[in-house]
Amino acid sequence: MNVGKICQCRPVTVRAQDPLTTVARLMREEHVGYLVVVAPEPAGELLRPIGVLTDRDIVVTVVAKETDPRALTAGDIMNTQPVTIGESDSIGNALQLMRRMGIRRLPVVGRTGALVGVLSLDDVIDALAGEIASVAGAIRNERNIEGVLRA
Amino acid sequence: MLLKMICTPEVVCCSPNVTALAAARLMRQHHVGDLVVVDDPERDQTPLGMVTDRDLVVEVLARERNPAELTVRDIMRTPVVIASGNEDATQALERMKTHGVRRIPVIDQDGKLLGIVSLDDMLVRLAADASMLVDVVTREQGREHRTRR
Repeated sequence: MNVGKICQCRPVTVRAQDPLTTVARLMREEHVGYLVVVAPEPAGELLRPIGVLTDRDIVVTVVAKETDPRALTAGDIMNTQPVTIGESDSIGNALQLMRRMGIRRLPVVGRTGALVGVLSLDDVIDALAGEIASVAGAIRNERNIEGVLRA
Repeated sequence: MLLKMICTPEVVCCSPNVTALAAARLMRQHHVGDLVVVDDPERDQTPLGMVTDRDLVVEVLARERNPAELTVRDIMRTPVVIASGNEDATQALERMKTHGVRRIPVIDQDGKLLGIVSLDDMLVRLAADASMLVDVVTREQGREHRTRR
């Protein structure tokens, strides 16, 4: 099981020049609290992550400081040079990275550096819980099958 | 394990009458993402609702409203799912699952705010038990090697 298998595949993205009200509306409509800011590669095909921003970033930077959100863009608020993880990386590596950086979400990139998804701690919890449930299931089945084979 | 043993007692509260802007400032100041809305933050803390940083973004900013003109009452989520301090943590977790909430205010027998418990708190507790599993398994193997040479 690697990052690519458990991450969310269709991340919600914005451009750096998108106004904050657009960003907020997107968060509302897509029911997300985390967006990746992307820039197209010169060839125009790949979307490379250049920043990340959360609903909290918007609140503490804009609302609490009383700056007019209409005057700001995603690029003004985003955390630049985001830490990313490769889609073929292991869950263990992803967790170590999250731990080291003190974050719970990572943009996932493919071999070429293009954004392919977002991995959050929630995705890891879900995957691990699934595997532990399989262990429990194997334990239960061992007893059942023994009961059938040695009836 | 009872909820009152694992809940966080320091909860940032606010009155429903404060502005959305004031709520944002509280969140920034106390480094939290949510506030428990209570009838009287100074004394009688009966939970009325919850407001999160997400609420500020999707209810205020996304609708291009002025946070200085809206009150917490306008945007808070109510009624709020709460739990009793004497409730079993596993039971409370089931209720959190049913209602799809990540945080739940915990109240005492008089209905006053005792603290708050989050899914992260539950996870830490469960993971602590799980990491002891690792110890039990490795020690059993160690014992086998030692006692049956």
